[in-house]
Amino acid sequence: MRTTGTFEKGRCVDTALIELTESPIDFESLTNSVRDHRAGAVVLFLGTVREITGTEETVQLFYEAYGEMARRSMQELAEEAQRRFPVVRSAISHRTGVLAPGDVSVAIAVSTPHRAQAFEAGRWLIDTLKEKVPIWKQEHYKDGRVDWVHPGLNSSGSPQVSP
Amino acid sequence: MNIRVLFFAQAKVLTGVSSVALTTAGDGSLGDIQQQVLQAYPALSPIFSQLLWAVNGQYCDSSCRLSENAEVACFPPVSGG
Repeated sequence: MRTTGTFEKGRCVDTALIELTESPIDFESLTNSVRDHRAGAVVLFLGTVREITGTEETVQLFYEAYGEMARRSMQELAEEAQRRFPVVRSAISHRTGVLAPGDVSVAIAVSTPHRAQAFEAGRWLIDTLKEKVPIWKQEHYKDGRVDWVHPGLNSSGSPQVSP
Repeated sequence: MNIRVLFFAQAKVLTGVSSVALTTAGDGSLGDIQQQVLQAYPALSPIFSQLLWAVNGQYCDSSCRLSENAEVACFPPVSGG
């Protein structure tokens, strides 16, 4: 993982803005970046750090990324979304490092000619990002425990039931 | 062939390192490197079958052919978002 504290500038390839950043996500700029006169709808999805999961209280999350692959993978998602849906523009930004409850960990903005397509494309982008992009979160609980989150695994490697 | 293997998240915890340099005199496939990693870091064995592997930033299976100085990455299921 890159440990530079600098903002890694978004890459603009075709019509997709992709970024992986240690700085707070500017989701207003991200949203504006997908506005376009060909679009009739813009949808913004924000993933935020949840404080309570079941009976567990999270005090912070740490996000680690395999930077080069994560950026390329998000770019490929944006390109695939354009093949699957009538996407005019899309933008994906994911945070790394330490985040507190309420912080924005991921933002996805997408514009399409009509609203249903924008919701569908945004839903597909976040669902597929969570499945494929090499980024991991580590839970820091109030009682001091620290756990990497790996769907399908627990820390000892035995099967874990999804919440 | 010289190969660098990167570990992330719980794989990094279990190996205790973020990367290792390996050489392969075998068939030059990812499978050969996977076996070397398992032998070098038996602590990975409980999760080994569920690890994901990438070569030069692309997901690969064990039949994938490696080239000189390939960057292999090894990690458990992802949890971004």
